[in-house]
Amino acid sequence: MILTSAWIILGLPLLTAVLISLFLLRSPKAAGILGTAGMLAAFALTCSLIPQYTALQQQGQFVLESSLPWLQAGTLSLDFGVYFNGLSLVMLLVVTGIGTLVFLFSTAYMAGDPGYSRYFACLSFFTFSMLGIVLANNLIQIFIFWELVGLSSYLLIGFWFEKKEACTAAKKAFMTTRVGDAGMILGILGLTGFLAAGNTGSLNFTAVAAALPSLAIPEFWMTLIALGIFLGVVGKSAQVPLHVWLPDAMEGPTPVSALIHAATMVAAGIFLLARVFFIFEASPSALQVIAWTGGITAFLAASLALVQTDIKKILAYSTVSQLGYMVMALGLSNAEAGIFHLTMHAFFKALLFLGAGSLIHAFHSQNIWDMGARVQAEGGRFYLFKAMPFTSFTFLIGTLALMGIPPLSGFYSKEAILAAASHSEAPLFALAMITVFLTAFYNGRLFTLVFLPAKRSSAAHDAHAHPLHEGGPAMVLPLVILAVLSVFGASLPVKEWLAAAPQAAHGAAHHGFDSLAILSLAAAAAGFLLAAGLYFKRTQSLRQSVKVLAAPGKVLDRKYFFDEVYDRVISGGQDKAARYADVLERYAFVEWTVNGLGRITRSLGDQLRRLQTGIVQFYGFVIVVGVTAILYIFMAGRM
Amino acid sequence: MTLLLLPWISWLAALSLVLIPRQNEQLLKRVTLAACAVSSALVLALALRFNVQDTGYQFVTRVDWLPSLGIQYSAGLDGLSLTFCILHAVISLAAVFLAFSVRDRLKEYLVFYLVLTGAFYGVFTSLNMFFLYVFYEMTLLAVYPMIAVWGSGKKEYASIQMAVYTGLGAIILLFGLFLLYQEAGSGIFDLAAMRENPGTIVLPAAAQSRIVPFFLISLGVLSSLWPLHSWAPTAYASAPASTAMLHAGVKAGPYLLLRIAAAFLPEGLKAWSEPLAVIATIGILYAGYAALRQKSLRLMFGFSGVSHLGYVFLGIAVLSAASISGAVFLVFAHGLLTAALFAAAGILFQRTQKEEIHQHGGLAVSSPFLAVCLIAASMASLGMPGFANFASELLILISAWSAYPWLTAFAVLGILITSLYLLRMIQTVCFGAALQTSAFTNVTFAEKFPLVLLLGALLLFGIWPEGILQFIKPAAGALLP
Repeated sequence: MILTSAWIILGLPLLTAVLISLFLLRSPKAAGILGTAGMLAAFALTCSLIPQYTALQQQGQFVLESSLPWLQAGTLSLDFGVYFNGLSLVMLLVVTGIGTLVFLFSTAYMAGDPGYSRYFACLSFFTFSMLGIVLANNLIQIFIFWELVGLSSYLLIGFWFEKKEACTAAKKAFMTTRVGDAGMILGILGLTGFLAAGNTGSLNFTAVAAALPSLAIPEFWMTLIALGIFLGVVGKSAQVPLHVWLPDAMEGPTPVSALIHAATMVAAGIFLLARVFFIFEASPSALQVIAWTGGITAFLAASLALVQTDIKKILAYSTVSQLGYMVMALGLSNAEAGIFHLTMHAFFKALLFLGAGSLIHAFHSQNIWDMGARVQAEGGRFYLFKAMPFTSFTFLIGTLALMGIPPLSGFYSKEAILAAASHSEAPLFALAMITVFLTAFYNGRLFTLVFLPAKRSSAAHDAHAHPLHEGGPAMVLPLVILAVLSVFGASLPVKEWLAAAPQAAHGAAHHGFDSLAILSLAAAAAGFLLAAGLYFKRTQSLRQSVKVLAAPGKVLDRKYFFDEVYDRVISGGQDKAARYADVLERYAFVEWTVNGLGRITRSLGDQLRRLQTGIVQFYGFVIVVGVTAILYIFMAGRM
Repeated sequence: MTLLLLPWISWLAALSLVLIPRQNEQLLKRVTLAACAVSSALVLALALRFNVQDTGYQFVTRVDWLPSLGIQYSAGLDGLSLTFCILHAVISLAAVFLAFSVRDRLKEYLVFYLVLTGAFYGVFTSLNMFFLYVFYEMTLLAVYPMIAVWGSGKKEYASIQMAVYTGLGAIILLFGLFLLYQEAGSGIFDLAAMRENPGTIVLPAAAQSRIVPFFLISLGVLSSLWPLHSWAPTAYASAPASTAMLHAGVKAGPYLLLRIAAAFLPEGLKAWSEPLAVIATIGILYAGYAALRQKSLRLMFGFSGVSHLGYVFLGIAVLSAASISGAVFLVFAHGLLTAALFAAAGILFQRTQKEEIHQHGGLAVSSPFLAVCLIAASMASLGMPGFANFASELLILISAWSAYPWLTAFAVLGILITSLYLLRMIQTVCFGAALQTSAFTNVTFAEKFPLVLLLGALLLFGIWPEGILQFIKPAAGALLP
C-alpha cells in the first residue's frame, strides 16, 4: 500500500507536467490550478503514509522496496524502483509540502506572465525530478533524476529567456553542476568496477551495501569513489568551490528560488549524502574532506552575504552557508542532525524567500537600500509592519529562526550540528561558531535596512501611485503556514521517522540550555545587535565611512575571485584547446592531407579536373575495378 | 521473400518516378512517400515477428544469381541488422518530408533519395559479401550528386572531398576483402552459412592482425572515425537536410565492421583493440574541442557527430557483449539524434538562409516549436537521461570502465565539452530577443513530423531501452566467439 502510494506520488507531478505542456499551454488559469492540485494531492497522499509507516516501524519494518528491470546487459542489471524508508518519508513531506505552498504562492506571483503555463509545467517537472531522487532505489536512478533536476532548474532559472542575465545564469548553473555530475558518474563507475569484480551487477542500495564489506576495496580507491560521488553533492548543493551558480540562479522567478533553496535541488545533495552514507562511511579521509568542505562553505558564504545589496542574493548566500552546516554534519557522521536541519531550514528558508518575493512584488525592486529608502519616504520605522503586516512579521520569524534563536525551529537543528562540531577538531568548531556570528550579522543588516529605517525628515515625500500592500491571500497564506512551521517545526517527530532501527524513546528533542547553547546565542545576539546598531541610522554603505573595510570589502565584492578564475580556466583552458584543435583540423587534416591528396589526384588524371563529371567517373572506376576484382577472385577460386 | 523485396520497394519506386512527368510534383511526392512508408511498415512488421531468442539469421531467403559461380542473392536478418533496419526505417521516413522541400529538380533528387534508401536496406539485409559490397558502393554513389548538385555553401569542395575519402576507403575495403579471401577462400561470401557452421573458417591470428587494419581504416573513413573524419563535417554542412539526415544518421560503417571483421577476424580485432580505444578517446576530445570552435551550426553538429562516434568505437574496442550492445545501441540513438539535429538545422537554414550560429537569436520567441526541438535534441546529445543516448552511453561507459578506466575517465570529460558547446549554441540561437520573426510564421506539418518522430523515438528507447536492446543483445553475444 505504501509502495503503491509512493509510485503515485512520483507519477502525479509528471502527469500534471505532461498534461499542462500538451493541452494547457494556452489556458494559464487551468494550468495553475491543475499544477497546484496535483501537488496538493501528492502532499495529502504523503501525509496518509505517516500513520502507515509508523505502524510498520512499530512492527520493526523500516524499509520497503519495489522495482522493475530497466536495463540489463552482461552481468549489469539496472533497476527502476522505489525505495521507501524514514528518510524518504521526511523528504517526501518536505518536497510535496513546501512544493504545494510554492505552487500556491506562484499562482498569484506569476499572474499575468506570458509564460504562466510553461512555468507550471516546468515547476511540476522540477518536483517530479526531485521526488525521483528521493524515491530512487539505486545509484543510477538517482543519477538519472539528478540530471533531470539539473535540466528543470536550467529551464526555470532561464525562465525569462529574453533576458541575457537569466540565460547566462541558467547556463552557468547547468554547467557548474555538470562538472560535479562528471565526478559523480566517475565515482559510480569506479564502484561498478569493483562491484563487477565481485560479481554484483546491481547498483541497488541494498545490494551495494551488502556487497561493500566483502569487496575489500583498497582505502585509496574507496576514498576516490566517495569523493567522486561527493563532487556531485558539491555541485548540486552549491558547496565551495562549485557554489558559484547558486547566487546567480536568483535570476529565476522568486518562487523558483524558494523551491530550489528549500525543498529541491540543493537539498538533493544532502539527501544523497544521507542515502548512501554507507559508501562515505567506508572512507574516514573522505568524511574528513566532507566535513571541512561544509565548514569552509558555511563560513565563506556567510561572509559573502555581508556585502550583498540584493535581498535575494543575501538569502542565496545564506542558503549556501546553511547547506555547509548540513554537509558538515554529515561529514561528522551525524546524518540525523543534517537531515533535521535540512527540514527546519526548508521551513524558514522557504518562508524568507516567499517573504522576499512578497516584498519584491510590492516594491518592484530587489535592492535592500532602495527598499529602505522607499520605506523612509513612506513613513519610516515600523511603517512596513503596518502596511504589510503578514509579510513583515513572518519575515521576522524567518530571520530569527535562521539565526537560531530559541524557541524557534532553527535553534534546535543548528544546536545539534554545533554539538557535533564541538566534538570534532577545534578549528572546524571555531569556523562553525564564527559563522553563527556572521549569520546573525547579515540578517541584522538586512532586517534593519529594510524594516527599520528612520523616517527621514528631509525625505522627498513623492507620492507613489500605489501604497505598499500585501499580494493577496494566495501569497499570504503560504507565509503564515511556513511561519507556524518555523516556530513549531522542531516538535515534529522528524527524528522518530528517521529512525532506521528500533530505538529507546528519545529524551528531549534537544539538549536544553547547556554551555554550547549559551555560547552560540551570545554569538548570534552580538552579531544581530552589532549590525542593528551600525545600520540603524545609515543611508549608505558602511564602507564609505569606515575606510578600513574598503580592502576586505573589495575581496568580498569579487566573491573571493572564484568567478574570475573559472572564466580564466574556461577561456584559457577549454577555449584554447578548442583553438588548437581547430588549427590542427585546418592544417594537418584539411590543408596538408585532404587538399594535398586532392591536388595529387587532380594531377593524376585530366578527367578529374572537371569536377562534376570527373568524380562520378572516379566512382564508376572504383566500382568497376571492385566488381571485376571480386568476380576474378571468385572465378580463380573455382578454377 | 519479403526481405529480398525490401530494397526493391524503393528502387522500383525510383524507376517509376523516372516515368512521371516532372510537373506532377504531387504524384512524385506521393510515390516517394508511399515507398518509404511501405518499407518502414515492412520493417516494423518484421521486427514484430522477429524471434529474439533465436541468435541466428531469420527470414533467410536465397535466389541464385550466378549459379555457375555460386553467387546467390541472399538476405536475412539477425538482431544486429534488424536494429540498423529499424534505424533506417525511422530516419528515411522522417527525412523524406524534408526531401520534398527541395525546390530545384525535385524529381531527380527524389530518384537519388530512393536509390539511397534502397541501397541502405540492401546493405543491412544482404547476407552475401558480394552484394554487401555492391550495395555499400551504391550508397556512396547516390550521396555524391545529392550533395554536389543540391547542396549549399562550398558544396563542390565538400562533395569532392567526400568522394576522394570514401572512394579511397572503398578501395582499401576491397583490399581487405581480397586479403580475407586469400586467407579463407570463397567461404567468406556466404555469411549465413558462416553463422550456421561456426568454426569452419578460422584464420591464423597473425593473418587476422594483418588484415584488420584494412577494415579499421576503410570503415573508419566511412564512419568518420578520428583521424579519418575530415570529410564528414564539411560534407554534412553542405548537404541538403534530408541527405545529411540519411547519410550521417544511418551509419553503415560500424555495421560492416561488426558484420565482417567481428565474424572473421575476432583475434585480429582483439590485437588492435587497445590502439582503437586510444584513437576513439582522442577522437572524442579532439572533435569536441573542434566543435567548440565552429561558427557554423551544421559544422558544429558535424564535429559533434565525430566526437560521439568515438564512444561507439570505444565500446567496440572493449569487445565484450555488453560493450558491443552499448555501441550498437549508441549508433542507433546517435543516428536518430543526428538526423534530428540536421533536420532542425536544415529547417533553420532554409527559413533564414543563415549558416552561422551568431546570426540567429530568439528562436524561442519566433518559433517555440523549433526551439523546443533544438533544445531537446541538444539535451539528448549532451547525455540527458530520458533520451536513448544516455542509456547507450551509460552502458558503454560502465562496460568500458573495467577494460580502460583512464580512457573512460577522459570519455566522461568529453561529455562536459559537449555540454559546453551545446549550451552556448542554445543560448545564442534560442534565447535572447527575437530576430527574423517573420521567417517562422507557421512551421508546417512537413517540418514538424520528422522532428516529432525522431525525438519521440529517442524518448521511447531512452525510457525503455530494452525495447531495442532485446534485439541487439543476443546478436552482440553471437558476434563474439
